Amino acid sequence: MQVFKMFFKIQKKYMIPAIIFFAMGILMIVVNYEFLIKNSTSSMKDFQTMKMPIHLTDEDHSTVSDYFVDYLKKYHNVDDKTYTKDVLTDRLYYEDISSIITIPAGFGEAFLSGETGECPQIQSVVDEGIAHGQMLNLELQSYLSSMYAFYHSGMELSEAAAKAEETQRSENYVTIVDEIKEDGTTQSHNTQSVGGILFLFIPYVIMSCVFGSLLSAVLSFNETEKKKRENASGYATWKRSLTLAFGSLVFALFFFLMYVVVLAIFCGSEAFTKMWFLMVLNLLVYTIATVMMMAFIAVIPLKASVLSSIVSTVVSLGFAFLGGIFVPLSQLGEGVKAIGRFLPTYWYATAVDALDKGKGFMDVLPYYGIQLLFGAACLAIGMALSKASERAH
Amino acid sequence: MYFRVFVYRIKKNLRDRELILWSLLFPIVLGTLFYMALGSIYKNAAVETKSVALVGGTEANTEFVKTTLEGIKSSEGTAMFEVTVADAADEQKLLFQDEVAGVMDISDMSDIRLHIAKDEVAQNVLAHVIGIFRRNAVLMQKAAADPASALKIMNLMTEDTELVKQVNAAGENKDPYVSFMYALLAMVCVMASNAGLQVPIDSQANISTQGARVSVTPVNHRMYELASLLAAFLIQTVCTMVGLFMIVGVYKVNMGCSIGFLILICILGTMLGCSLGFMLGHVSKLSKSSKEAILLLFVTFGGFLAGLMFDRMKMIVEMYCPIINRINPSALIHDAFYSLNIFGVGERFYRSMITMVVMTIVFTTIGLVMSRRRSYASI
Repeated sequence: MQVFKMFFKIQKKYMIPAIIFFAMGILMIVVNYEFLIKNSTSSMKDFQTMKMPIHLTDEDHSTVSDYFVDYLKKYHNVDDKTYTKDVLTDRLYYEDISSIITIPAGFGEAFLSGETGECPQIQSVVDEGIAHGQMLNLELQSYLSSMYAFYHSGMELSEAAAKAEETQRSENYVTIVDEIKEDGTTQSHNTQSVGGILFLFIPYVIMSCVFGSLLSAVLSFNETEKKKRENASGYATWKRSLTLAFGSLVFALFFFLMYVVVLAIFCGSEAFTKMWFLMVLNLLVYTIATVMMMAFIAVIPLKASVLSSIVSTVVSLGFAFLGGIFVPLSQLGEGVKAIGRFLPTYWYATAVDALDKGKGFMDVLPYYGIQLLFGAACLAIGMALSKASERAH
Repeated sequence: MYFRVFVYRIKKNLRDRELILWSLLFPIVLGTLFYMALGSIYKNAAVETKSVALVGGTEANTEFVKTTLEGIKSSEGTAMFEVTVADAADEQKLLFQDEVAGVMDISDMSDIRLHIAKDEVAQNVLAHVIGIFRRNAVLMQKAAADPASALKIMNLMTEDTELVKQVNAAGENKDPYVSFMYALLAMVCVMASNAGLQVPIDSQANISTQGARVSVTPVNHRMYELASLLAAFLIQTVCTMVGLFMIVGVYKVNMGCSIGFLILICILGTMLGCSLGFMLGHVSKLSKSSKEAILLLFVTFGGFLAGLMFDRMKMIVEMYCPIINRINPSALIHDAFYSLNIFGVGERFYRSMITMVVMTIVFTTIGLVMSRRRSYASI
């Protein structure tokens, strides 16, 4: 109990990094919720045209441009606030918006007169290197040319706009098909839940909290003078190690619980479902594995402050990037995935992906197991190295 | 005298193996990881040819749809679709084993149907193409009902009315993932603050024994600290350059600007980092560990706000609270790289560079002013 109390007394000294990393985690959840989930383009059981985030400026304000703006607002995420050119360029570069659309003055008049060859065209700035912007332009061209053809074939403008919209309403003729398994069950390939996005980022912050704060406290017990005093006392070494491990686990679980509460709030109606609980279990397994990893890291012969900085930054970021935490597994190359398979983050992300696709506990059990095995292997190596170093002393 | 101090401080810095290891390891390891994980994502997002299966059509209809689909090309001239003709009964195999983008049922040309497994870009393009077929079906019906205007309607169907002008976005390298490399270099520069922090620690009599020894020597204290700061800056600049060489020389990452400008930004960034640590070492009587924790806030949280963990973060800050980007050292350095890539040498680049220089001068001056007239009642 004395060691346990002492551990938390020392841990208090290292609370600043823990608070920084915890705040970063919360900020990550908020930002991802606001910018990824709210702009999410897919996840429906029924097909809907991809909702693209676009910035729109209407300098025309004609009836034609009004119909066009209404169409865009109905089927896409339109932002028509005024920003500086720099901000718009930044947003396009970071793929926060897919296109910057400007309807020039005089467009509607030329559209109605049929003199489109001389009129200013609608300008759509996209990154031509990626497919999203070009797809959007194809849709806009398709809608406008349909409206143009219907209007000039003799329809009223309102009728032409409605008809053009109807021909573009792909949910009328596109069906998403589920895969039929051998046992007769079906599996969707087209779902992504809020939890599937939010849970993905948490291992990074858990790792940063554990390595950036907890590791320093654990390492301080390895300081020569402290260790000598402990060795002189009647307290068994194994008891001390066990108490430290327990203390670390309690501290890590505190962060785990805090994040679970935050995730429950952000997941809304998805919280407390079977899938959500399995994702929480996945996170719990990962947290335990991270604490186990610390046993291995703690034996690296470097100064505590340096070691904790290196591990909390390099190892956490490295595991996150190679394991599919910051970049979805589907976007990682085969070479990276081959390396990632040796990391617990990869199996964590694989489990999240599988749960997101509707798989059950038995399907993800091996992924939980691999994470724990990784942790256990680190723990075993760490303990063996620690013992060898003690004997050498 | 001061040259001697400078040389000794260089030796002292070189012997601080943990600091050197940390400064070198960080860009090399993370640069490698970023390169491995992010190197090919942007290329993979480019338009690539996807397979489409046509089912149920007559020979003439199949040929017409096939020609239309194969004629759709990206702005670089890449064909978007490769068409195969298949049997409707094979739909499950086509979608889930052969992974075709979609199965198009063209048995009724006025009511073409599309079956897909995922709602992605290629599937959306297909849906819009079907929209054009459906438009033509409506126009055909109209022409049949009104033979007088049939010719005009047929012309409208074949006319290529360009109503949308596509303009390519600005920038030398439009890959958004290269911004992780900018953020990494920015963090390496700001991490030089650890070396800057060591300068006042080694010269304050109440913090280190070395400081106590230094304070009794007949050396001008400010000149001693400036020489030490210069030595720390030199060593840290070498470490930053090693990181830059790894990214540009070894991994051949296109940073979107010339190497001369990259070196200039790295030098100014490292100078800013060193001066930040130097100032922080002087401004309060906090313990060394507390000062290190504050630096961690600047390095890690500043790096986060500049986009080290989430590339859009700097843009979000710019939208809602741009003042943070004007004072966050990591964001300033990142922005210097970014603005060169996207806008070239111009107003925004100069703004970042001038702010970096001004902040360096202010931080160093504050540090020097705070180091004056220190006396100790007891050490």
